[in-house]
Amino acid sequence: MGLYEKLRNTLRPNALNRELEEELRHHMEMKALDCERWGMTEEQARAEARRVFGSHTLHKEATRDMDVTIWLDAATRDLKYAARQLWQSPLFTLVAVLTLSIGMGANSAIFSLLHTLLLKDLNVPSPERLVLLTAPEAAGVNNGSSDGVRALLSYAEFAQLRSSVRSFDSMFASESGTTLVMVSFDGKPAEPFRERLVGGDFFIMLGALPAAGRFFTASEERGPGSMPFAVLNYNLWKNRFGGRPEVVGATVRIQGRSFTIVGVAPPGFQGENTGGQPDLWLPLMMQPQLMAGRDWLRDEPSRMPAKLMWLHSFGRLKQGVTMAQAQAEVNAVFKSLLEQDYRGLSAESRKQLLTQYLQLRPGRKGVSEIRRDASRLLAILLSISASVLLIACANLANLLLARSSSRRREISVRLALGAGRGTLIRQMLTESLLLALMGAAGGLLVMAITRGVMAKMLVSNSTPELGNLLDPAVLGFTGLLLVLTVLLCGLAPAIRGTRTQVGNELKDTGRGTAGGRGTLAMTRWLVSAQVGTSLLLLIGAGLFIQALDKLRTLDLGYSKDRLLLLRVDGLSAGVPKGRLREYFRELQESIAATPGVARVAWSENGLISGTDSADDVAVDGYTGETAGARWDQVGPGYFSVVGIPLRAGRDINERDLAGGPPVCVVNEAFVKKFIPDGKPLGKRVTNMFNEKDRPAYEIIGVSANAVVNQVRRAVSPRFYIPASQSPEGMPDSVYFEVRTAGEPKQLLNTLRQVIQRGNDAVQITRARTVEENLELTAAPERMIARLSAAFGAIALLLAALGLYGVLAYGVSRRANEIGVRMALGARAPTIVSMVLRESAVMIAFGAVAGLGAAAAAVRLAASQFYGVSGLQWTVVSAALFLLIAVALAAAAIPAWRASRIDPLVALRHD
Amino acid sequence: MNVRTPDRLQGSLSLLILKSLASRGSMHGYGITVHIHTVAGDVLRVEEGSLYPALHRLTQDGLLRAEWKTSENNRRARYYSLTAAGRKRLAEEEQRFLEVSDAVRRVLMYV
Repeated sequence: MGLYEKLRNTLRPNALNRELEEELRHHMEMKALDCERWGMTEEQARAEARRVFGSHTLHKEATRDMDVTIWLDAATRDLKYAARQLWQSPLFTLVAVLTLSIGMGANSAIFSLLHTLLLKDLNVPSPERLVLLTAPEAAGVNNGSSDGVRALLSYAEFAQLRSSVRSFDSMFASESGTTLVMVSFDGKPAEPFRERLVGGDFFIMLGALPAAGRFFTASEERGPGSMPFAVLNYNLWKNRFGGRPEVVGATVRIQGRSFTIVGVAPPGFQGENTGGQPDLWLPLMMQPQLMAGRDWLRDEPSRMPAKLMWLHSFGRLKQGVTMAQAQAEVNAVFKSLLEQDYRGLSAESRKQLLTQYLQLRPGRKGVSEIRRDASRLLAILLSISASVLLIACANLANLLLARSSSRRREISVRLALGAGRGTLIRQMLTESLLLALMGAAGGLLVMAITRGVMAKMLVSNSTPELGNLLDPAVLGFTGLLLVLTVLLCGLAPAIRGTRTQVGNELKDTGRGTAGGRGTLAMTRWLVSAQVGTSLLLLIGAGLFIQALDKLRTLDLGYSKDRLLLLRVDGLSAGVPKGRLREYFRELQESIAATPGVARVAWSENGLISGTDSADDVAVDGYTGETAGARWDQVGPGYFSVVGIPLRAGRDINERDLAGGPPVCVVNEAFVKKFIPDGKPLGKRVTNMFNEKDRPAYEIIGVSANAVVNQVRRAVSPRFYIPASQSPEGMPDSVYFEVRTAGEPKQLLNTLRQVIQRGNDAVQITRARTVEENLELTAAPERMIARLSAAFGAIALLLAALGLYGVLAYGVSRRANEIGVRMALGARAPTIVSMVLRESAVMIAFGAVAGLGAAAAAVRLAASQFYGVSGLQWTVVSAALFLLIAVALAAAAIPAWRASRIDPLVALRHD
Repeated sequence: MNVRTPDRLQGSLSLLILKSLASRGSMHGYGITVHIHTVAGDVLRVEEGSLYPALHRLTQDGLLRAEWKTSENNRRARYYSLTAAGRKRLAEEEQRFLEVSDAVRRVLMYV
């Protein structure tokens, strides 16, 4: 009763009590009135009424119970009953809750990431008025030209749009990537932090209120270098500065320049970008100060059509202005500014360049560099984890089914005694509800643990803001899983279990053979389905592991062994553009002289680093359609140091860099594509990008095809020029390719000292080995391979458990039959093979279905993933072998047990 | 669910309530006791302590509808009436009761 009282008190409003009181009082008064009418005094009448009526409170209690307990009673009784049932079989409960927790947790974690990256709106006021002018998934710096839909804007373009477009009441621009900067607090040694440059009404439009201090605003923009302000990320403020308020107003040195920390962003502020979060937000106006020697705030007219496109831009629609109107106005302004910029160019180039336009999109979801890749991955992972949950549900359904059939007689008795079938179904559903509830609770725990890990795997260079763990959408999703689980697991067993002919079951003494054909057939189908699904997951895991292996063992065309890449920014060393060649040559010499270094070369784009150059080219003797080729600028001895074999001609040398005639080395793919007669040496390659300066490089060598970028594609045509010979002059930053004698990373500090000798300002912006670059590139494949292997293993385990359960149950039910068979002369091997045959049928059905599903799924995956090219017989046979081995092991135990049945005991039983 | 002394027809209180409401329309609790008393005389007297729990249970089961109205002497009272389900249940119970009492009568008459 204690539980009743509690529930009743919490569940019931006082109003009900008052109404009841009033109703009973009415009764007494009516009665008293009648008594009075029969001649009693009022006092007497009341006393009589109360006497006849009996204990007032007692009746009230009894009546009240009827109001509440009718429904509550049933629910609590069912819950208690279910809890008792589960408590009585703790192992079953543990297994069920664990599998459900894993299934629901994995699904919720993946959904939570999907939600953060894809579905959630930015937390901004009136998000429907926020409009994005750039491409949501674009990121980085594009130094060149484009056609068609423009992905990113240059600062000059943004400034022009902001001053001319009337459809918006405000606009902001933000750096599409993030940049590492060295920050020194209180004169301590500088540490690397990630910053994002933002300008315009960034904080205002995103509706953020500072957690401390203030934000910088557009009204403070007074030209380049005018706003040495910084806004801190809340987490940085809390973790690094303990949330101390006096940090606001403090001065820090960023890249050697003084900045004032003016404020702290609110907790959870993710800005406009749902990918990685920066540690600091700095004003766009400070770009030239942060990157010495580079001005990204102007487009240099002499370099047209090249522009520095690196910014995302958002606008806030004026009240009543539609997106279509804004689109028209923005593009009118954009077109006229492009015409202005390109006015000195030939009609032919202008025609192509002026196809550029801006595609306006709703800005409510912000931008995200990782969104497209991540959503593809997450969709795959979600389907994998959903399969695991399905298997877990099938397993649970099977267990419940088995339990319900072992309770057949109990159920029949209850039905015979007049229990409603609805009541029984409700009771059994309550049991699965209780399990699912515990599973969901466990699942939330699993999600809390795993989603951070998964986010890290998904986003390699920073941690996305994951938002609240108990986000309503995520909780809703988990709730939906819960309901589905209850229905999937509980409904069929409940309906099946209660569909029994009362008479038949009670007459049945349990001496039959298999008994309950329908139930058993269903459990067999469920096991087959589990086997099939786990085979599908195993094959998938195998294929992804194979793809990952393919990436790892990819033949690059040179040795990736002990090859360290160091990117050095020459401008940060304070070297003027004209002296960069000597500077890089001196660096090359001092690195080469460092003990532990075998050889060293350098190039603009490095190896597998993600940066690349490409332009349209014209080649002597090539008459085909205009086509582009990739290219790189390299230092002396590049090919011999990196180890790319030369098929003909010679390597690029110091004389080529020191003012020799324009030359280049092309790869074999280039020869194949552009040189029909197969005689490349002496032919010229002309870079068509800048129509006022089109250098023609004479081919002096042919190199083997080498993978220097884009590991997932066939090697594309590429030419390599001496680093001083591009129309742009020497690159500001170059990668040194250092082949070391020992472990490369151990040499890192020494090399840092060598490079920074006498000048701390010299920036080494990247320091990774080629192997590390490959690992980073393979991150998505690795994540999928790992998770699908883990899920595949779980699925296999669950399927084995399911198979074991069904067989063991079957054996125990057929103990009589087996006993009879043995009494009639059947030998143990016969009995074993009988049980194994039964399992073989289930496995075979499942395997065939799994193979069919795998064949269909792999076709889908092959179009999406590098290295997945179809069902590999090695993978399929390995998966089948594993599956059959585990399944047979699971079947062996009940089979063995069946063969040990003592006919005498079995026949005496029951 | 008892009918007062002697415990003559156990389980018939709901039937009595349903029938009373069917014949008299909407009534409050006291009205029901008065009606049963009037029709059946002193043999069947409804114990109030059983009446209200029964009324509330029947309401919970969807057989009765309850609403607050102003009574004949201008008091607020809770009036009960039959729902469609209640009418159906009444027909069934009535049928069963008649069958049972007929059977009982025949057994008693068999000498």
